[in-house]
Order: sequence, then structure tokens, then C-alpha cells
Amino acid sequence: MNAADLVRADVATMEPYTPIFPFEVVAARLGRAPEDIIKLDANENPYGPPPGVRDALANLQYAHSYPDPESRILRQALARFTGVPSGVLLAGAGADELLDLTMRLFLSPGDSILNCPPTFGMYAFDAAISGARVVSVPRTAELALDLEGIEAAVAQQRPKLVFVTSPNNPDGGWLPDHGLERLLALPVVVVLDEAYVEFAGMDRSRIGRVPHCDNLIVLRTFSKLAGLAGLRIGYGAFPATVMEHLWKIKQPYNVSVAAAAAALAALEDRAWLEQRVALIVAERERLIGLLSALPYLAPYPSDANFVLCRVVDRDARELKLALEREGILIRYFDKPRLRDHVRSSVGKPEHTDALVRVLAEW
Amino acid sequence: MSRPSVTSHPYLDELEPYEPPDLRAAAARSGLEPVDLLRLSANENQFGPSPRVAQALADSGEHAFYPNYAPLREAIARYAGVAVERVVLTNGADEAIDLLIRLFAEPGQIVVTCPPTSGMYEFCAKVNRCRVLPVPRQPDFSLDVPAVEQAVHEHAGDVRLLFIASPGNPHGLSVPLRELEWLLDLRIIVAVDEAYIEFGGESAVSLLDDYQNLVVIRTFSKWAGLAGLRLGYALLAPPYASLVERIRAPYNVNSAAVAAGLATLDDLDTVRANVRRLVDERERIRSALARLEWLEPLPSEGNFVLCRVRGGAGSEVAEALALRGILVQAFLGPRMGAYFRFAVGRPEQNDAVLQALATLGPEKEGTEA
Repeated sequence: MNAADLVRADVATMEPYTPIFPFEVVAARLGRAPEDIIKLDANENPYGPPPGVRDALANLQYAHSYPDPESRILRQALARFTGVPSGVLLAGAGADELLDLTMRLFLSPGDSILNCPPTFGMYAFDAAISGARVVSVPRTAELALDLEGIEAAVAQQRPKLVFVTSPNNPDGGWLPDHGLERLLALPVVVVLDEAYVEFAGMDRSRIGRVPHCDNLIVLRTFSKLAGLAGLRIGYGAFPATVMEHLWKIKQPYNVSVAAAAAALAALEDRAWLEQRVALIVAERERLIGLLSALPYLAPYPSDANFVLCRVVDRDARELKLALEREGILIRYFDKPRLRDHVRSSVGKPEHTDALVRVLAEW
Repeated sequence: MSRPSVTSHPYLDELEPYEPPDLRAAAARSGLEPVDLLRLSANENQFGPSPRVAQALADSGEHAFYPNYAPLREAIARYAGVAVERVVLTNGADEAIDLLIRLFAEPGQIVVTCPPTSGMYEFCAKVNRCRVLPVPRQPDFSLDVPAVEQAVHEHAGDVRLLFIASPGNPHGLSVPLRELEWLLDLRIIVAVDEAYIEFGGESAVSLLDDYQNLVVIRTFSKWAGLAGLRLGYALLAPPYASLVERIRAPYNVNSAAVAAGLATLDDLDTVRANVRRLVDERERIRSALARLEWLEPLPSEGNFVLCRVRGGAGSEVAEALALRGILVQAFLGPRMGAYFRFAVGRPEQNDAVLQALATLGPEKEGTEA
């Protein structure tokens, strides 16, 4: 029997998502120990999780018991953290799962989503798995949303969902209020991905608008803020009418007890989180200053924990490889609007120093 | 202008939200705190995980980074005795069920189940807008192979997957390999859910080389005591495995599950000793319960025992046990209404169950007389 015979036709022809290489793998390839690698390619938090997380995991009581399908304790803590009622909050195995659930809920085969590249790759990926079309309205040369283009595309193509990241990955640009208002006025559901919002300001999330708005979904995560990318814990705020249906299609045991315990421990140490965010924001500004001083780099302003740079008159891929030889991993892009671009996460001050040292000599 | 609505999909009307057990209510009725309840309703491993797991979770420096799955994938391949290309890691076996349906079935196509069985096959099928064709097991809970075959032929072309649990929940019966081979000759995907295989039965892994359309689904929830951490895996033909790899979320399994899975596979002697104790306890419980006239405990190859209440309802026994702080699973409906199921626990927990059931017996006979 030929394997392809039984596979869904649309899946068989789908483009795979290219995740970053695990750094043990890269370390082995470079002949370095993993601790001799400076990993600035995946927007992870260089400070890791708050100290309470380690204790919470060491003392995990119920690893052998199934998780609470409703994540009640975590959702109550999230309600206190975000200021929106727990009834409109859903926890997921990373915001990735909530993206997938949202698409499953709204999209039938043949429906479409609107995507604004360059942006996070999972929107187009999940749409393909859901058998949905992707209507692309590329960002402008400055990587801002093309609002006229979006309005025209919505009128012509009638997508059901519009995905917007703010701050956007990979540039760190912020969606201004007037832009959000124009999106919310459209006959679509706006899915606002705020994975990096805390680096724009701890109180700048639009999540508080969700209970007052019937077409806004806001997704957030512990991956970046709390250094818990590995544990897979995200959450979203959804209109109440959508929540009712999400409960029906969510797998009952989607969030691990370790992820829930770690997230709770992180929320209990808000001061630590805020301190680390402040360090990262200060370091981001220092990094942008140092990068601007290099003749061949043009960094974008960023509200996130990473900095995108255009490489001017030199080869961006060569730059990535030169850093890799020194054990520093950054992200290199070769996509429309991002030709000759590289992106570096904001690390600790010593990471910035190491990065800039290599760049200065290149 | 009207906004897109979610309610336009009729499939949503067929789905009911999952109702978790209400531990608080049960505790209140028994006068105990929720933590003091003996919760034997979910087939969890009462010995818990390897003692190395907690340390591995705390020591892992990986939680801040997106996970690397290669070492665990290789360790599982060694444990299961298959090539690493056959292994797909999933967020619990539940995600494996979902991914298989997503990969192989389009909306409207048919997934065959053999009830009574886990509700996840039907749940995932409905979420993926597939039709479910139940082919009930025989009265003794063995598979009705001719009926499955007939159903597949009657819906030729529309049936894409067949889910078979072996050993099966809630009865604990495993499926003989020759029956699986018979079903594997049908041109559909046969997914054998081996969630309980470490407690008994013959694994279908030995058939993987001969049948491209066989998928074996496994989990660390039961034998390894890691239900809370969500670690499952699927074993399947390499071309299919690479397609599942393509459609799964890139970071579907969490770093705690990865660390705990590796720690477990590094401490197999301890974990296997617990599995043996549970198997011994299962047999001890079954002989003890067989002495009660009003109960018929069924033979089981899982970490649980299904009991038929002669001339009564499983829910009555479950209710009576709940009042004593012991939670077991009762079933509803004409087929299963007389049954309840409970997980085999540690010896002292099992003694508590046996004692409670012994005191229920005379009352029961009294009310029936």
C-alpha cells in the first residue's frame, strides 16, 4: 500500500513549518558545548523562569493525575493578572494550541484567513492544516500594517479571521490604537497575538477590551515574559459566545500540570517578572544603539524582546554564519520584505557585548 | 455588516463540553477534604512516577527554551524496539488520536470505533467533523471482527480509520494479534491504542514491519505515572510518521514531559517493579471480589478492574463508595449500567476498597431481599 493513498490530499501537498534547530544539535555541529552557545535566535527569555518555578516543579504533587480540564486555579490567577474575568479566559498548550483551536472553530474548508506577512509563521501553517485559504496583505516597506489593503481584501475576499501580532514578530512594531479600531470595525474576527506585549509595557495589552468587544480575541503566553517557552503554556481571552464553543472542542487534558504549576508560581512573583522585563527593555535600547553605530546594520525600533536589522551592502547570510562560528545564534531571513535581514533576541548584557564584539570585527 | 459566527457549524451542536468529575461535591458528601479522597476513577498510577522525575523537572535547564525532542524520540524508539523514524511524540495519546484523524480523514468521512471504549476517538472524530460508526463489541467485550469487516465494506471508501484499544478500557481485555491481522487486511488505517500494554496483552508493535496501515498509540500516563505531564507517542510507518511530524505543532510536547519521559526511561527497573506490583494487586483484588456473591469482577489486563453488579446498578455502588471517600467510575446506559470500574492502587488503598465493598454487600443483599 502506498502511504500517500490514504492521506488527506491538502495535507500531502502542504509546506512544512521550519522550526529552529534545537541548540544541542547546533552545538554539536559547531563542536561546542551547549553552554558555550549564546542563543539569540528564538526570542526566548535569557533570565529563564522566576526562582519559584523550580520549587513548584520539584514539589509537584500530582504528576500522576490528569490535569484539571478547566485549569480553574490558573484561570483565576490569570483573571487577577489581566483584569478580565476568568470566564472569558482559556489556557492552552502554548498560544499555538489556541491559534489552532480558534481556526478549527471558525474555519470550514474553503474559508479564508487574512495574514499580514512578514509575521509569525504559525497563522499560515495552522490555516493550511485547517484546509483554509490564506489571503495575504503584506506589510508596508516599514513593516506597518497596510490598513487600506486589509480593508479592500476583507471586502473582496471575506476572510473570517484576521491575524495580527503586536508587537509584531520579526520587527517588534506596535499596532497603534487607530489601526486596531479600523480592524475591529471590519466584518471579521480580529485575533491579536500579544506574545511579546509585556516588553512594550506591562499595562499595554488590549486584553481588557475583549469583554466589551464581540470580535476581538487576544492571545498571550508565558513563553517570553516568564521564560517558560519549553513548558507550553499560553492563554487567550475570547468573546463569551466563542468560549462556549471552545470548551466543546478543546481536548480535556491539554495543559500539563507542570505548565500550570510553573505559570502559577510565575504569577506569584510579579515583581521578579517586572524586574526582568525592565532589564530586557533597557538592554534592547542599548543593543539598538550599539547596532546603529555599525555602518552595515540598520536596526528597526522594537517594542519586543528582539531587534530586526537590515544588513546594508553586505551578505546577511554570511553575517549569520560568522556569528555561528563564534557560537552566537541569530535568525536570518530570506523572505519577501525581509531580504538581507537578521533578527537577534535581546539577551543579557554580556550576550550583547559578545554579539557586538564579533559584529565590530566582521 | 454581519460578522463571522461560529454557530453556523452543525457539528458543534453534536459536541457536549467535557464534564470533569466534581471532586468538591464528592468530598462534601463524604465529609472529607478533596485531597483525602481516594480517586480511583481515572486509571491513574497510584505509585506515581519514578522518584527521579521531580528532580529532573526541577533541574532541567530546558524550560526557558523551545524543546528538543531528538533524545526522547531515540529513547522511546529503544524502549519500544522500533526505528526512530517510526516515533512521533504527542501531547498525551489524546493528541495522537487527533493528529491521526486530521491526517487521514476529511470532514464527512468515517471513523470506526468499537464501544464500549474510550470516548476520545468519538470526541476527536467529531471535532474533525468526521462521522463515527460504532461497531459494538460482543457481550464478553471481545471484538466483533465480522461486524467490523462488514461495516467497512458497506461504507467502502468512506471509512478511513478504525480505533481499537488493547487492552481496552473499560473492560481490560486485549485483542489477539490474529484478529488485528485480519482487520489490517482491510484497506484502512488501524490504530491500536496500547495505553495499558505494560500491564498485559500482546503488543501490536511486532506487526509494524508487515503492515504499513498499522499505527500503535501509547502513553506514559498509566505505566509511568505521568498522566499530568501529557506525554504520548505514536508508532507508525516512516512515511506516515513524517507526515504527522509535518502537521503537528512544532512544539507540541512540553519540556517537563520531555524531562520526565527521559528520567522514566532511565529508571525502568523502579517503574517496572511498580507495574508488577499493580498487576499482582489486580489479581489479588479480583480473587477477593470474586468471593462476593453480588459482584462479578472481570479478568483484566489493564491497571483497573471492571465489576458487574449482579441485579443492581454500578452507579449505586459508586455512590455508596463516594460517601466513603472512594471515587470509582460508574457507567450509564443499557449496555454498561450494571458496571463500575476502578483503578488498582497501592495495597493499602486496595484494602480500603475491598473493605468498603465487603460492608456494602450485606446491605445490598438486604435491600434486594
